[in-house]
Amino acid sequence: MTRHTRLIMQMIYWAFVLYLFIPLSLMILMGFKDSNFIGFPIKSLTLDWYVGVIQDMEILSIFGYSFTIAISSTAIALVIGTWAAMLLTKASFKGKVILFALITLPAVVPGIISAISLRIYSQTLGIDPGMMAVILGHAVHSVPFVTLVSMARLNSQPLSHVEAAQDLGADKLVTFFRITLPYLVPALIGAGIFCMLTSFDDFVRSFFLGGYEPTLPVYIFAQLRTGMSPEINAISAVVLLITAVMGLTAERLLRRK
Amino acid sequence: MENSTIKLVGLSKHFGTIVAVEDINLTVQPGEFVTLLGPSGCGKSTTLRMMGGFEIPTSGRIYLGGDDVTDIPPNKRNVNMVFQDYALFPHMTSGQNIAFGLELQGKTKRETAQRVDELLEFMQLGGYKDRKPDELSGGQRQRVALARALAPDPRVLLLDEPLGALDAKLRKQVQIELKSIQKRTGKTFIFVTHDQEEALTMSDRVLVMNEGRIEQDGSPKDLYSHPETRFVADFIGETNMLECTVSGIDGKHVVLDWAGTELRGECRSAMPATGQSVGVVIRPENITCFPTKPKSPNVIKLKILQRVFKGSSTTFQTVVDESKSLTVTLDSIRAEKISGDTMWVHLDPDYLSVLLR
Ligand SMILES: Nc1ncnc2c1ncn2[C@@H]1O[C@H](COP(=O)(O)OP(=O)(O)OP(=O)(O)O)[C@@H](O)[C@H]1O
Ligand SMILES: [Mg+2]
Repeated sequence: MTRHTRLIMQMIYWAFVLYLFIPLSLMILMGFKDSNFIGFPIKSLTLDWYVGVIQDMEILSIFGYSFTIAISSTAIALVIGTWAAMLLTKASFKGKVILFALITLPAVVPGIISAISLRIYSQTLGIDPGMMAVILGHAVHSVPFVTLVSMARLNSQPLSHVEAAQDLGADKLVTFFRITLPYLVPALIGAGIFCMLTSFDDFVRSFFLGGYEPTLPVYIFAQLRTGMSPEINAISAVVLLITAVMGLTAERLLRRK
Repeated sequence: MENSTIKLVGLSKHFGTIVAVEDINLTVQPGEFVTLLGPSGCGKSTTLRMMGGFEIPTSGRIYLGGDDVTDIPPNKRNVNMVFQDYALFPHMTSGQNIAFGLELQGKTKRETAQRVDELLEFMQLGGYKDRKPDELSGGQRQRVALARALAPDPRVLLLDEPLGALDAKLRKQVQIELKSIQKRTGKTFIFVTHDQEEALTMSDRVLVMNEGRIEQDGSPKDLYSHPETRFVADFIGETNMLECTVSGIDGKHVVLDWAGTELRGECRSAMPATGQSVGVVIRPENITCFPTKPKSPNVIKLKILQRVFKGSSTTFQTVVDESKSLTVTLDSIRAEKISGDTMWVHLDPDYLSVLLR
């Protein structure tokens, strides 16, 4: 590469980074604005909006609610996804392709379609709109990711590890819990964080399946309709901080194996 | 037979139309170091895996100490395996790897810990108990794998090319170590390799396999000096293969016609018929040489084409006439005495093996 092309490549890279970060920086900045309206010029700065968010019990409880949903739906997805992945990689049975298609389908169905059908389905089952319905809805959406990631990891597990465990006296169950599951852990942590972030971020399913209590995106959406105030920026910035911390932690955990 | 550790009777394994192993019969005595030797794809691993319980035989039975274990799954068979890639559990330390089989046997924490320490000591892995496999060298990993397989005190230890991943120098060293471990533990080892030198160095007994069958079963010395088939002669070491016609029988020797040269050789199996074409083998180093013509049968005059100095030995590429060539290997000290471009050699009939197959 000549110096010239390297320079151009670097410029493109930095242009992209700016494109990514300018909106985020603006959002964070506006949260500090000492005024009721979003937009330039910024005359003076204040911490009030951020302090307000942290002290607002309603917002905190919404955070908690979203968090509970994210954790529960992820836990369900991890169990079902791992189970499905084991079935799809280790067992041989008729209709395996069909099972695979069914399990991964929710990943490609448009959110609105899946939200409406889940709403109808949960009502036929007698589950009222609310936390339970949202958790189940998010879990359905998360299972394909866990399954795919686990399958990839399982396919890379040397067969000899499983055979060695059996050779030393382990039955199928012991082999799974003591050999295969630990091997899957890095993949499960990665998939789990991804699912939690997706759940935390989801609007359409939460909106259709939720009851009176809103999840965070639904709440922000409701606030927007009554007008943009820097409070929303402050909430969003906090969300950004939390998700970034989660993502980076996951990354570090995965790197340490 | 009750005393044998493992016994295979008419064992076969077919994968669809592929015949991987065909009609193997084998009785292994306690404490024997038996090696399955053969080229890639000849069915060594498949045979070993059937003994371990990882493949179900198409036909035939497997006995372990007199009990039929053919249908017993690997986790209930008192046989352990050392895998080619060692298959150490990556998330466990050396100590935990070795303890795995003991815990599953229901040993107490104390018994397990004691046996693990004992084995680590035995394998000279004293300071490596708390290291994970990826923090160990190839040779150390190999020893942990061996310790793990020995820990539950199996009747037979199966080893599938366990030295394949080591570099040449370490390999030599580990060969000697492994043999000494086998001697000290008195365990029955069944070892798989495609490296003939490795097989000859380590084993009490070698089974040469080809296309799923056993070609020859004997001591390393036997296989080397008295191969019974062309395949074995070819596969093990360097050899001279003389295409001869049988011209008669003289007492215990077979009289042979090697394109005009009369030779006498020995035949360990049934005597061949007169007129039959046979292969006759002799190792280059089993040929004795004289500067002048000695007085005994089986003496030939050779014309030297090339001599290659190899340190302690020297190899001569020679011809008898246009159609017949011989490779002769001599001690370098002896080779120095050969000057000029001809020499006389004696082909000892006891080392001239007549092969019918
Ligand atoms: N699971 C299987 N399915 C189909 N064919 C198989 C299977 N396992 C082994 N074979 C075939 O059986 C034959 C013997 O294989 P095996 O692995 O026993 O050879 P090997 O002597 O161990 O060779 P190598 O030295 O390369 O390990 C080969 O032709 C192989 O392709
Ligand atoms: Mg093999």
